[in-house]
Amino acid sequence: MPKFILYIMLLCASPMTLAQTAYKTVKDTILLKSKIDNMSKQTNSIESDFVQVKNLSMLSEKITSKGHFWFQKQNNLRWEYSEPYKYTIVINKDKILIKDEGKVKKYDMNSNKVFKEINDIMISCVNGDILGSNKFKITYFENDKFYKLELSPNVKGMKESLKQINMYFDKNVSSVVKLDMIEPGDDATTIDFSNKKINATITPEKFMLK
Amino acid sequence: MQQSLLKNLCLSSLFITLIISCSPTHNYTLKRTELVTESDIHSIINKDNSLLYKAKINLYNHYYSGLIILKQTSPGTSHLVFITELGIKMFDFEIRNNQFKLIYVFEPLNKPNILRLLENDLKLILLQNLLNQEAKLFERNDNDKRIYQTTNNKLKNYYFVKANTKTVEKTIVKGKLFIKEKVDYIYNDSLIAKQIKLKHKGIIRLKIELNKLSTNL
Repeated sequence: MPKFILYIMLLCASPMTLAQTAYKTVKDTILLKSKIDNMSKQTNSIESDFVQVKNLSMLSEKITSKGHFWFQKQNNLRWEYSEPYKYTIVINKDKILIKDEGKVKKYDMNSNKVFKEINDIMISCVNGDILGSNKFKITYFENDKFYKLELSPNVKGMKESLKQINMYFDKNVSSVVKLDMIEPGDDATTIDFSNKKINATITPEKFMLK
Repeated sequence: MQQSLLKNLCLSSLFITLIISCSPTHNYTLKRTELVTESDIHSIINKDNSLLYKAKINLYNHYYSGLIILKQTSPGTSHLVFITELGIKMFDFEIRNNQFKLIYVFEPLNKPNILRLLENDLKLILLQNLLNQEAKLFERNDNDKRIYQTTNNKLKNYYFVKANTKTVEKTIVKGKLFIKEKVDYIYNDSLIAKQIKLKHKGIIRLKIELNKLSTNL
């Protein structure tokens, strides 16, 4: 299992408060990578609540949405938004299913460049491809409560859409607790995961939409 | 010979009647030409609050959905930002003194034809082709509707305005003969557009629907 799956699974860790000491560089990155790798190997599924905050820096606006998240190896994802709108997106291997206001639309991943780009970012966060693919330069930090991985894209095509991804792990490296996606221009999307269930049974129907 | 002439005359009359009766200003009287300002019509962009809309865009065979944020950032300057539900920013237009300026576009959408189409339609939705423009004003005595008519890129834009609220209820873009585009607006009690629907007619298959979300930013 790719290391990044771990990371995403980790995303589902408990809620955290970020009142903590300043981050410093991790000295033993090999040990940390090993812990993350172990976590990834042991995680087959994740279910979690999430709160997503979009910060539009130029407009000084924050848009908050909430919902539920499911992930199952390999490449099965479901994001179900419940507030302030109802919207579900399911990625089932190479298919994208969207339920918007009761209507279901199906897409082939490869037929839509926009979806493909979005999916590449999402899945790579969830299944660990980001770390494994050498598309990012990764810097490791820690403070008294969390590990923080800063991922900076180093390939054309991604640099234009994404400036940096920050992934936060609890100190036990049991799950990812938070994810920041920072765009050029410093707009950022922050996703906090809470009420996680690791390796709980998820029925195949969760990755279908009717 | 005489019968043929009569037939042609009838057909011509019928055609002319159809053209006249299809005119959006049929039964209205041209009153004057005036500069339209925000004291004449209710602006879609709200000066005091940011507006958040759920957006659905059908462009040919592609469907994009997300959120549109409309915010006046300073007097005379506003932003229209489209982000996906997952939080990825698709585009950001700055609107300053009726001019649209593209601040950001998500790379896969960075195609001149798509951007031009979007810009034109968003201008139409936000009444940018009417505000601070010279327009012909048409009125009729038996109702409270008035119509402003402007010309934009050789097409005539007709704005149907409810006189007492100054809200634009409908916009029609018309070529020489046929309607090219139509925008419908529904307002809430605070006169904020709660639903906006734009539809192209003819070759271009583009539909935009905006539904205001009740949440405050």
